Amino acid sequence: MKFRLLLTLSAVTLICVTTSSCYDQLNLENASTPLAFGMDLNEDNQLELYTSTPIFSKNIRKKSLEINATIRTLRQSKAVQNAQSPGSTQGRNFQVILVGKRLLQHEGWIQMLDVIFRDARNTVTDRVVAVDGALSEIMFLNPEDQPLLPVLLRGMITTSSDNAETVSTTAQELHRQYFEKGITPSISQVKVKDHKRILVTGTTLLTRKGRYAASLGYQESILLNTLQKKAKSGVSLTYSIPGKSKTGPFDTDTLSFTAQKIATKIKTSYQQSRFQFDIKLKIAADLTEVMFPYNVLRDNKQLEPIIAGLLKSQIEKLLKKFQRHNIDPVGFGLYARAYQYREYKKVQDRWAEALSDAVFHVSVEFDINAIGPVK
Amino acid sequence: MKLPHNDQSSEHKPDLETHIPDIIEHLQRLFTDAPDLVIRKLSIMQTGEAAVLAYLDGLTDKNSINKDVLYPLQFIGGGGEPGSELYVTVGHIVPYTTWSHIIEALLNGDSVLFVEGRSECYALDTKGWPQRAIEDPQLEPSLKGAHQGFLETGSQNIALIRRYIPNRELKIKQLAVGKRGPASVSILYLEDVTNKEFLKRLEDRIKGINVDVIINTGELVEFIEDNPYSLFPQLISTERPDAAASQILQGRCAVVVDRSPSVLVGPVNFMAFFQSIDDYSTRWSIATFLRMLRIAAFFIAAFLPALYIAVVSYHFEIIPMKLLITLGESRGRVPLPPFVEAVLMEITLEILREAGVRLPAPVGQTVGIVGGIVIGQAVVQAGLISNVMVVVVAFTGISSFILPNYDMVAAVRLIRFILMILASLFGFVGIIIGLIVMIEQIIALRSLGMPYGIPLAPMRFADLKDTFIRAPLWLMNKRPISTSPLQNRRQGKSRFQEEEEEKKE
Repeated sequence: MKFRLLLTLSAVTLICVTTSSCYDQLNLENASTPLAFGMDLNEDNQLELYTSTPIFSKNIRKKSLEINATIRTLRQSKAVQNAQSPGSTQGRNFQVILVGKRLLQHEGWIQMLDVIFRDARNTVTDRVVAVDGALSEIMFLNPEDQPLLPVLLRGMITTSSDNAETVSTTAQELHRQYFEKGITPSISQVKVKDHKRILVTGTTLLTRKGRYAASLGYQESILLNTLQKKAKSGVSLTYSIPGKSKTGPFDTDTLSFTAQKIATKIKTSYQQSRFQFDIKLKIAADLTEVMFPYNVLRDNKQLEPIIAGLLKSQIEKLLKKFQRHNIDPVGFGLYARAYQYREYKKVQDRWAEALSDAVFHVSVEFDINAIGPVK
Repeated sequence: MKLPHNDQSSEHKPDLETHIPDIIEHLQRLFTDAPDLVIRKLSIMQTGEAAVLAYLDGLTDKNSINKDVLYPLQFIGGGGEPGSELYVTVGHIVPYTTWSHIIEALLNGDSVLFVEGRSECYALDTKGWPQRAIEDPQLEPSLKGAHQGFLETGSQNIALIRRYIPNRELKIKQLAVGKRGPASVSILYLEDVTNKEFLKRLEDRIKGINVDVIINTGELVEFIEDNPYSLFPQLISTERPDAAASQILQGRCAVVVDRSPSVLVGPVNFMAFFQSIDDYSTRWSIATFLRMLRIAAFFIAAFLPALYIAVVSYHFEIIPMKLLITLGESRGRVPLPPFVEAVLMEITLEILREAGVRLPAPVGQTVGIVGGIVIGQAVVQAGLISNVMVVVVAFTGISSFILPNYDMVAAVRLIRFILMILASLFGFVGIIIGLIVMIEQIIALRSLGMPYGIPLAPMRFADLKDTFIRAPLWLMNKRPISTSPLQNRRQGKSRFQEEEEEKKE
């Protein structure tokens, strides 16, 4: 027994002496934890880095420290960041990654994010956001009536994407979308309005190589999410019903509904040397706003096909838009690979071009579940 | 208290003098510097013989001596001849012929009557030492259970347990421990239920003790515990007769040590430390909830400060954004590193707790209030400790208070500090290593040879009814397998039939 005790004690002592502690111990108060970082190009096409770090002190009025530097790579910029911040800079708590519009005009910027994925200490759950405008404007805005920029942006993206009004693309998801051949990346989009307000404007669609291709508004983003089967029940759409009259400046011809059940079915086939996609959408919805006079008993059956038709034409327009820009944010390539592998394999490296030649058959089934408690 | 002295009696030949003056001289020689020894000469009215009554003042009941011994001997005539039977109104009378027995009887509170010309003397049971009344148990108060706690008198404690188990199968093995002041140690068990293996092990271990004196049960535990180096207690000591009786009924042994108000129970497993006797007197649903709460509290009390240290000094990437800002703000003002901060606060908590225990109740409360205000307010305001740390310490403190067993709480307190050191050296990895070692320790330990981790490791599914949950009593018809009882079944179908079903028939 004594021998065993001695052995245990000496083993513990040995461990404590030889392995004094983990090398990466860093107390929170000694670290500087930027919550947002952004990349943009300046007028000379040099890479610019922006970070926003919260300052942990009650005595300082301004709650965050913004750093801006011209850099070559992200990891190389660490020295510059350390030189400007009170603690050792750590990329562990990023909430958002902002990308400027000038940067999006160039391919290959996603490769610049390599350190985010390769250094496992860095977080990959941060949302990637495209800024419609110059990054310097949004980073140094610091409106007094709003929380810290990263907190604000993260909150806006989370609530908007919960309602499917934008996508919620994390750094890891972007990495997947970039390297996956059957899909092209799509990220959230924000912009600064009137030099003082930040707002989410929808979704930015990128080409296969990461260049800016097109933007989607709220309603189109909802449809994109619906096609991706990511839209949850509760998303709200608004349409103007043709044939109803407008009263002055008011859109009294509109109708809004909240989808309760959304079922998207996509079937793939290959005919006449073109990919064919059958998209079947089934939506059961509650009417939440009807501006025009409306009789339940009579109009219900008439309204349903009208709304279905409106949905169908908007989806078709959206798909045309994708085809025009040679992009596939929905990920039809994943379906093609799953069901038409032989044909897909031939075109997988130029899938977006193949998709622009594809045929879509959209059919929408719309049911009115409830019309609300008013007549 | 009568002690077994079989081993001594054979060695000693009768050496008692028959002449009174010789006896008195012998007594005085034996008990020098013992002013509490009373030697009372008298003449017995019944037989006309001269006699001497000797006893130790304070260990005996004066009333009993006056009324039941001196009065009948001196004032009630009987016309008996010298050498015939004496009439005293005392229940227990033992004749002795050797001095060693006489000394023992005197020291244990008997009064000894020597009669002129007789070769034997009589030890009369007139015990009556200072004793307190039966009170509520201090460490294990109960809401709905009985309000009787054990006392310092072994025979009383046995009686308290017998009240719950009035059955002739309740056997008592009496042993004496200690050479200078033998304390009677009694093992209580059910003859037809308790596994003889545990009993034998317990008996052998107690017999092997060779010490001067056992003052308390806690001392006995150190000598008979399976692994004295382990942090975990391997025997439960309780001060509740109902708890002890319930354990005996489950097939365990209880050890009553004379002069100690707590009773040992063994063999026990790790999960038994989360059970309380109140579990069985409250409704099963709330008892189950409380058990879960206790298990959660065990982990909070052991791990929370370590988690705090690990998160703040290694893994702050897991802190949610909003918490990061509050935590950063409160940590930013603190001049101490997280480990020092945590250890300081935990030690303060331990000091406060210890101060509260040692002080009389009214002062203890004041200490609690002062400590609470000092820690809760001033330390944070002075910027010495972050307020998140105060919350952590308060949580661990409260969590450790809801564990029903004091020994387990003590173990958790030590484990907490070990885990804090590990966390400060290796972060989460250290905590996981600590957890693994702890689980390994629980699996490897034994209590009187029974696996300590039972019924979880080794797995005994049937016993899970009374582990994390407390199943309704009418579903637990069998005794726990873990005690390997001789009689498995403890009750039959006891729940009445539903009325609707009766109608159908």
